[in-house]
Amino acid sequence: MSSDLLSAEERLRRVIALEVPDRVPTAPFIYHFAGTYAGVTSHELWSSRSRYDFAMEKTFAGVGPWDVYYPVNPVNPGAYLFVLPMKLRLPGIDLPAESIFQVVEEPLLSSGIYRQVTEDRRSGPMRRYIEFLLDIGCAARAKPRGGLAARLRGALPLLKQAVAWRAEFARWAARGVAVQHGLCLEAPFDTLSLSRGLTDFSYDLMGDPAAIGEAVLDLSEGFVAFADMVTRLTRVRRMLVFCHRTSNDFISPTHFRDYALPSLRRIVNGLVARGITPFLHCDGNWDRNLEHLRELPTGEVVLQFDGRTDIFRAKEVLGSQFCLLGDVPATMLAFGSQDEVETYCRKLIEKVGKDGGFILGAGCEVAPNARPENVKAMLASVHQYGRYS
Amino acid sequence: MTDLSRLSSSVLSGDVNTVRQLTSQALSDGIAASDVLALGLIAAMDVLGRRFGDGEVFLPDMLVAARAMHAGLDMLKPILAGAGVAPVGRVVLGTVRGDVHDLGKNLVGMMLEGAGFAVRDLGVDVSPQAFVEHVRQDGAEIVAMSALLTTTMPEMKTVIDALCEGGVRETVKVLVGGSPVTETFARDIGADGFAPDAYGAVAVARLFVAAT
Repeated sequence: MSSDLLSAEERLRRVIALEVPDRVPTAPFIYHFAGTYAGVTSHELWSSRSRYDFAMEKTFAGVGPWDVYYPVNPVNPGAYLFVLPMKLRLPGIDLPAESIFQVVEEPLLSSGIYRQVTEDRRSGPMRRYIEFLLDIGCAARAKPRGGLAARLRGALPLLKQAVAWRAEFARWAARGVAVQHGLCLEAPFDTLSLSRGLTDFSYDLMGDPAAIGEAVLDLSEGFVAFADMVTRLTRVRRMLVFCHRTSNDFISPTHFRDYALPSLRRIVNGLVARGITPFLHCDGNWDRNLEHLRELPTGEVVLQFDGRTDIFRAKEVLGSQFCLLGDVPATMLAFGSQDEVETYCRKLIEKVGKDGGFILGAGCEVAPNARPENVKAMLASVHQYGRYS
Repeated sequence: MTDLSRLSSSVLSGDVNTVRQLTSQALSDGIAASDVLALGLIAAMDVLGRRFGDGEVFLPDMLVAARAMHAGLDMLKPILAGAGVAPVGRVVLGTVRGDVHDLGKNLVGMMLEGAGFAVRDLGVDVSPQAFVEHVRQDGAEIVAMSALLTTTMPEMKTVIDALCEGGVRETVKVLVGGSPVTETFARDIGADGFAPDAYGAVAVARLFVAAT
């Protein structure tokens, strides 16, 4: 936009550092919507790079622009391990091509995984972390589940993903759009919850929470080392850390404080020490976890909420410490009116965006069936209401 | 005589073995299965539900208690059925067509059973016709539907339309839920109730039954 004074990258850096930029930046998590908008099926999104690029281009031109590209779409089914380490139903394979992927809540790992993680000292932290991820990947597949072939089949999609991202990110950066993160990965606590299945994981948590706490702490170092390696490869030193299962919808604030937060803190501190900015993707209701997040380093972390957490209270509690991202609800974007979206975005900008430290985006993801006029209204609202001078 | 408050406490602490032992002991003592259910098991889940609503306990507490509760319930079910004891209400439950997510739906089923409802769980990806058929077959008073995706939420309206076309809409109350589902959406599609979580679903289901 002509009245912008900063580049998208500079705008993003300033809000992360809690400085006041020229205006509120936008970062929509938008790839499924892009497919619907451009008439590209979900199957094509992950199986054809050119169709994915076409969908993003058409959406950027049609409802955008946005300041920050929010990359998640895996380039192949195997790379979904980065995003959701559990058994998946994939469009074009298990589901109709136009459906979005869905997850199956089923244990992939046994309760012995915690001890296995803490007792395995055969290799260094990163190697152990990668082995842990590959174990989940192998368990999620029908066959073969073991052996070198299965490990290679798990590792190659991850490598292919990182290489594809590197090229894609360079293209977005060249056109003046900031790239939000160079890697997205589920936090260890959440990975264990997802891959054990919620019911069994909850039994584990009530039975021997210390075993879980020790395992996730143990995985943290390898997680950071892995993130360091991949974000060097993709050349974007920011990282999205999915926390799908750490909200108060799934665990108590006490369990969070005692068994999830120590690992999260180690990860955040480790990433920051390496010059990597963590974006925590906090799905679900985090209202009673908010105070605990104060332990994380000021001006170094972005917190994304999905509409279930009271983001206005989060601003009060954490606004002086962290940049917040969110939180236009998917349901509002899909079924609400344009006026409703515009009113809500204005409220977000005025209250959560007060004095900077705010990125406007969807709560979690822009719904695949969002109304285009609503998405457009969300992205346009920062130009109408989001200027700081 | 078995102390049913001890049975309740064992459910609350998730102690499966003690629940089995006390349920068996209560039956041996000649306590009616319906009393063991109401005063021992359901009473515990009610306490837990209130604590959940007050933010004192969380999902893992609910799950371990539900596991213990079901250990007792499984022992009572054949006796209750043999004695012709009617459930609190009959519910047809499922995740709507096109959606294979079952986490929330399973929690709702577990909590409804824990409150004394008979639950026919149709699973995931359930067609509107299947909901209608099972309402007829079971004489259910409640249809409970779940959706996790905004893309499958409209299917809830399709089910309500099918219940109307099938001539059973007037005989059932419709309860909807799922992460993206809102009270406004529930009202807009003509559902009778909305619950934000599993225990909320029990509260709404009880209101439905009380109203009939």
